[in-house]
Amino acid sequence: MNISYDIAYRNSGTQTMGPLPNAFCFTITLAGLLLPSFLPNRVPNIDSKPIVPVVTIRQIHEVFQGAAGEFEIKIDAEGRFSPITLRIANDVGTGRASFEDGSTEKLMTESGNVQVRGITSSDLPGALTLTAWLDGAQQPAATAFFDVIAPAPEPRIYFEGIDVTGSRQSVIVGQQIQLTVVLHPSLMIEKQEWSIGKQGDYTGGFLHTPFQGGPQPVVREGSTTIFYWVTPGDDRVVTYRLRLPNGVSAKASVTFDIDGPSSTQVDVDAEKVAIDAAPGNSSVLGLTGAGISFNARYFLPEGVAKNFIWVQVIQSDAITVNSGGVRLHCVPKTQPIASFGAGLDTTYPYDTHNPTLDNPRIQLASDIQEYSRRFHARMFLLWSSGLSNSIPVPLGFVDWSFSGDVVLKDAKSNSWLLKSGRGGPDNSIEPFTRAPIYPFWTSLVPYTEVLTCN
Amino acid sequence: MKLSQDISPIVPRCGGYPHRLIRTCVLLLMVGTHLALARSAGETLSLTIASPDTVIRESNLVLLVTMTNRTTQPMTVIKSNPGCDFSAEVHDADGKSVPLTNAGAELSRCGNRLMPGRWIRVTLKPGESTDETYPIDLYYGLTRPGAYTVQLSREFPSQPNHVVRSNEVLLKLAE
Repeated sequence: MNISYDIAYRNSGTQTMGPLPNAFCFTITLAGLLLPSFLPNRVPNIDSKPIVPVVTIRQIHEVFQGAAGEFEIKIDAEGRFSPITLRIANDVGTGRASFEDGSTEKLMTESGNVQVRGITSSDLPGALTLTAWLDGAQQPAATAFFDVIAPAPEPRIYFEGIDVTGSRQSVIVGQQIQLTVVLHPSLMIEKQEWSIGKQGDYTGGFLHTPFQGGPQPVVREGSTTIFYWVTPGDDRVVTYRLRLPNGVSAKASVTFDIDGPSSTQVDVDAEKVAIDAAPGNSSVLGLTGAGISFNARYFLPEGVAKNFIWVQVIQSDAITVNSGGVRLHCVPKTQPIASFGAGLDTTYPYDTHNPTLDNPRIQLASDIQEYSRRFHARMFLLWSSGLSNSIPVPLGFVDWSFSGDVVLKDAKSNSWLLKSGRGGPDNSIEPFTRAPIYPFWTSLVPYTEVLTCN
Repeated sequence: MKLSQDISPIVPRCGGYPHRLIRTCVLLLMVGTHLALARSAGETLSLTIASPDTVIRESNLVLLVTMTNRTTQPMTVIKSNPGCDFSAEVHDADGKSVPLTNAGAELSRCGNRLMPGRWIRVTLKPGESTDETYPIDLYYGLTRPGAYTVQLSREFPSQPNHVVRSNEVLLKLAE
């Protein structure tokens, strides 16, 4: 595939230059790379003055690193003229080249071809120049822009502005890892992608709005990838691979050692289900005391701050009421409407203190004869390094539930009888599941105002 | 069918005796701000708000409210829905009151809650504090750029007429 583009023209200052004709456009070809360019600065030949030759430079063969490319130098002049000086220069970038003898200057007394040897591959297109100078001139008579092409692509991985290719990096879970590969812009790439490792060990981000939340995918195609390690571990290799249209491929890798909380444990204590008195002669069904408590502990690397980010997702919350012989099935209002009253519990985060608590209380109205509630929730524990651009990482979760069935004893005194009730972790022996699973929700359960019943 | 009924999410008690709730709310801004504590002498409840020195660039601004028991008795605080626990008065640079967004209004209809949902009961000893977040952008959708004054208040069920107010905080929001 060819790329053609106009290039900036370096005017000698003594001539009037119009727009470049098409013939003066660059053509860069990949693999077999042909990059001819020739920019003649036509100097008018005035009879009364010394002979000024017209010089053109045309690239015949690409300049590869460690090999010679070729340029054709045409000197068009009638009669004798002073030798032309050819110069190789590099204004910016990494590209370096010289003539066959190692010099960057060469005299030409007649038309002919010159060999240019590539020393260091270019990182910017057209940053190298081969110029032809007339004796005493302030501007070149002709200029050719060219590149030194690497014999094979050599991708380099940059992390926080540093070349980390082949190195080992120490980071912490949740830290933003932005890796970038810088390649020569003229390189035509058929495919490039990143392999990061085992799914679940990393994420592309963590979205948490009131109405939706969850892990985000990683963009693994392209020269840049951004991700976050979710789990601690050593020797995690991230590899960048590219393939060219001609089948040539190349890769680069960097190894990560990831630190973070370890040996996380959450102890769960639950009180009994009870009917509690509330202000205004009302009764409340819930857990006694402060309710269920979640007490977390973990080990942290030295110098890292301890914090607790609790996020609770309601799996289902079903309330059945018997009102005047009519049985109604209700769920708390959710936004947007979700099945089973599922969604983020109230707010993100649920709490940032340790231990945290909950108590699924429901006020009992005396115009209802029976209440029955089945509540299932998952309390997630996350941790954040606090580094800028970092995200919280999940440490695990506790599945727990609450159920209670009550019947009205006396409407006047609003007194109730507890028929049955249970509250606590679903797994009383090992309530905490250590797993790097992010909370996920698509609606909010604000627990405001009303129940939705049918 | 809708069921609705009043429910009191906060039941402050101390040894079985209701007592006056006295607390301090300190409003912090989560974006690297510092606190500048200022208490009015003689008040049983002090409210201190620190405003940031710098312009805020966060898109979803969350205020951090610190509540401190300034009484000589233990105090019980319930954290439920921040939109129900707190009221906010928000004014723009022209002094006009900024209304709740539709979503904010929906999330702040707390009068007839049968279930408080999130229910974190915290008992504060005299002088102890606990903090809480208030997602102001969720409720008010503050447009950027802009400057706003915000004051939070909280009512305590044991003393319905006793509303604790914070002092005003100035939010300078960048685009």
